[in-house]
Amino acid sequence: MPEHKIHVLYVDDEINNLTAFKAAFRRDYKVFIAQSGAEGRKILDENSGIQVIVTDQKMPEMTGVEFFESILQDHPYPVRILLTGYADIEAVISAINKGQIFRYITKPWDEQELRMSIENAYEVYHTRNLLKLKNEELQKTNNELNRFVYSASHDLRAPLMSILGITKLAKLENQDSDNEYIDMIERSVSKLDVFIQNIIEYYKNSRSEGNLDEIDFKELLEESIEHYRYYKDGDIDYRLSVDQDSKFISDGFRVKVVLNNIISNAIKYQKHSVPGQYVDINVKVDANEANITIKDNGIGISEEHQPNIFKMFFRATHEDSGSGIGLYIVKEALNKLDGDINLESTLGEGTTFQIKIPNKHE
Amino acid sequence: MSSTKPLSIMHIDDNDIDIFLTSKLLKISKITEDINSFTVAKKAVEYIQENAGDKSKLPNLILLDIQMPGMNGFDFLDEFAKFPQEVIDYIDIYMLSSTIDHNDLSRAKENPHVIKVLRKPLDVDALKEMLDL
Repeated sequence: MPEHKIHVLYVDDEINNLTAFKAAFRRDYKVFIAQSGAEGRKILDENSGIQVIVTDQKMPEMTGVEFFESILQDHPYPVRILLTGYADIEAVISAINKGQIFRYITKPWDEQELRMSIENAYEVYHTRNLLKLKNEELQKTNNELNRFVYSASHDLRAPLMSILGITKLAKLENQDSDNEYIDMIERSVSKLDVFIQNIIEYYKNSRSEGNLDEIDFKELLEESIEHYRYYKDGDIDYRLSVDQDSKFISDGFRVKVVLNNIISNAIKYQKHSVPGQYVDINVKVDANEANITIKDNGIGISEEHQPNIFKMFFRATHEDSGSGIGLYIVKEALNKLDGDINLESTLGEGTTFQIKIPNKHE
Repeated sequence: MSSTKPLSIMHIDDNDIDIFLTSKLLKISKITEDINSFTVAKKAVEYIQENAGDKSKLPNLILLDIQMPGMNGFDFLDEFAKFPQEVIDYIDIYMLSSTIDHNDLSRAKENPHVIKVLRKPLDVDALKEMLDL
């Protein structure tokens, strides 16, 4: 039993039925009665708290089903019970199929049966209402979290980029002196920056519904190389070959996350001061899928670590600025893209990633 | 770019450290000495409005931040689109932002008045290359 009284509206053209209903239920429920659909509507308009509506089917002017249809728009939430004789069964079936009626009860009604139905209807009302409230709450939390992540990402990253600007300027102004401390600051900043980016990518990948964008791999990869090449000193030879005749449609954000992380790894995990470093990127796009191969001659990944590199927070090396979530995000993003990734790697010789992303173009 | 005069840059950014840094970087790398900085985008709009008739006072290149309080970079672009066509044609806009927000980046790229989106800190060599300097 609910703590407070259930609010029930009963609509029937026969005054005797109204009186009987009121007599039977007035102690337990807050009862509203109306002698016609029009009158019922008026009561609904004036009392927003009505949770259950019981109406007779056979009424002059407006039938019970017609009454329900007429109020559906303005009063969608009260749960509906129809009272009817067997003769009206077609109208009832049609109304139930349209999803407007919770239950029907044959006349003359039995008090016990009707009471049970009203209580059940109230339970449905109450549950739907709770769900509605929870949904609204969830929506609000989601919106707030999105706004929070958006501004946090900016407020965390903007000062970091200012620091990088300062170190850059300091290097330009003191080109003759040893900039070892400044290099250390830059490395630390880059590490923090990668981590911030990964957190945001993780968050967005786990929640974003995914948009469909047209993707130009050449543009995307050139941008990515341009962005990450400054994270590492030394001369790396970037070889980019893109063979794309077909229009490629996929989730632009996730494709970018996958490629950026693999490329930034290929750049990060190069050997120290060895000549001939390269990152070789090959893309072949057709109407079905994009096949991307990213090959480097960096430090490589040992066989024992290979099964674990896509796990969260796994780090195969203490080298450089790994956060341990980059490849985990790659894998998660590819799951959402229905894509696939494989690697071949030999410790000390380099790593090759093969990525497959389906084309969502019709 | 319609450079009938030496490069004149307007920099719009709410962060005064970035204003200082960018101005220094532009000068040290000898891109230009002519830099007019605004920490409030609305003031920059007013400046262009007041000098719309006098090209000697207008920049021919704007570096525009995205996330700013009050009028942000996108609001500025909306105001910019309302200027007379000859002002619009005279000025090239580059976005200069630290954002990694996918929506912001694609929105900036898609704007017809934006030549390119640059990342902070300003890469002077890349800018030189773009401007054929």
